[in-house]
Amino acid sequence: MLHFQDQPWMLRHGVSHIAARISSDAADPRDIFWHLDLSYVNRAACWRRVPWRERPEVELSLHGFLPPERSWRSLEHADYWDLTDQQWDITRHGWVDLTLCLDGRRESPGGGIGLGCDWRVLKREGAIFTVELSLLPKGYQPPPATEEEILITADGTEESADPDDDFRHHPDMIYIIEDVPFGVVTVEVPRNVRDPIAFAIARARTFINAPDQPEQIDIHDFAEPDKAFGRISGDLFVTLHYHGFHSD
Amino acid sequence: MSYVQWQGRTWSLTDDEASLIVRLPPRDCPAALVEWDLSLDHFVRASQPGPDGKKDLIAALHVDIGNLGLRPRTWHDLSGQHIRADARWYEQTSQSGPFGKFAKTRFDATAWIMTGCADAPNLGSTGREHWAAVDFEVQFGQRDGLVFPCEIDAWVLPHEDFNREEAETPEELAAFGQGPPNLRVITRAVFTRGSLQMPRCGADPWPQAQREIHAALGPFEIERHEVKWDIHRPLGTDQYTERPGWRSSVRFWTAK
Repeated sequence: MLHFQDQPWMLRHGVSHIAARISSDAADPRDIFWHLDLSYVNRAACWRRVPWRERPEVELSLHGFLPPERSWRSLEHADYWDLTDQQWDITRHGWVDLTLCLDGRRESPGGGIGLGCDWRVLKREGAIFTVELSLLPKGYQPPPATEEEILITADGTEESADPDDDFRHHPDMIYIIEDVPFGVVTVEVPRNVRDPIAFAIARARTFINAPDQPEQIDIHDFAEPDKAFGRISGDLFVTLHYHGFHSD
Repeated sequence: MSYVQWQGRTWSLTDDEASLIVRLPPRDCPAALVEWDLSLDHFVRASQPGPDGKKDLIAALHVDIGNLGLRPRTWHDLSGQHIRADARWYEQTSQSGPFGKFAKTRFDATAWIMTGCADAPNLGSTGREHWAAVDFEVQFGQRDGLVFPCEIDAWVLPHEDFNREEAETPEELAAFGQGPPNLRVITRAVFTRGSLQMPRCGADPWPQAQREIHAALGPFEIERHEVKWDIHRPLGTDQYTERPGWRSSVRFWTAK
């Protein structure tokens, strides 16, 4: 569920997932490029007569984080919440690319590069991770500290208000709590490998302890003349889908 | 039995029935929900046979409601369900399909009337063939076997007027069903078929699929089923081939 601008948002399955890319020169789990992709469409009733591809969208990608351990399952221990600027390590905790399509314009505010992006995994069930993420809108400044606010609870006791409440409830604050599947693993495979699929599965097992039985495997050869999207690479790209509802 | 009133004109009764079709989400897709669709073909034929002895088709109406937004505990609980497709219903039922596309939550009607036919003047003229409704109501009656009596009232618009680029205003959203409905249907809706996506589960996904179908929908007799394996394109070829033992989609038909 995405909370943003007090609008109802709908997660798009398939394109929303945790993914990893293993390059052909990767020699260590730290060389793996991880990303978490989340895509939302506004599902407010006022858009019901507008084709869904033309409705407001929020696309968020968290790039470059590392699982605490070698296995993909260890992502369940990822907890990078409330880190200070000094603690934030972009090479371990990741950075956010945010694309907003509101009012018919696509904008990439830049997200919170190492700043304001708190995220953690709350739990894992099988291959589904419950992810919590909050992101400060660009340019938003938390209000200056004022006198400590005291709240009176129902039973009459007094509690200090959470100083973070103000910006957590800001309408432009992006707050997400979502069940996200693992995932898609793309392995770059040298062209001269005898069995690209076996090679890709072995690499995925070695670097992230991925299961041996993906739900779907696609091989992309961007050197094929009709598939060359402006980029010719010597490697094949083997995509291992560990959940079946992929977007290829 | 199928009764249709289209743009104020009553068409001939036919023996057509609507189909209730269910789509179960893949169990590895978090939060995806069961979708029920309703589909009706109402065919009006000439009263007299033509030279070839057949009664010509003079009018046809196809109604398709994608994703009724129903969440019955079992399929029996479709009995008595009432849908009022207003703004609140729309927000509650909108969802993403398992592949990231917006699940179709809309009402489409395709009406076709042959002009110049002796029987046709009584049917009116559509002028346009493709229509869609924002506002509609569906009422299911008590179940009899696989059949539910079904009444539909819809306020359909020409397709080109339906689609727009701007969001609706709060006033437009609040105005439900202005005037009498221009499409009314009374018919029998029959639970006919369904489908689901199966993850890799061996050479025959059917036993597991059957268990999942009945766990999600409750008991009913399945007459036949069909397994379609996912396809893939081997490297260096242009041909897609099925891959038995991998992911599959299973379709089933009830014992109607």
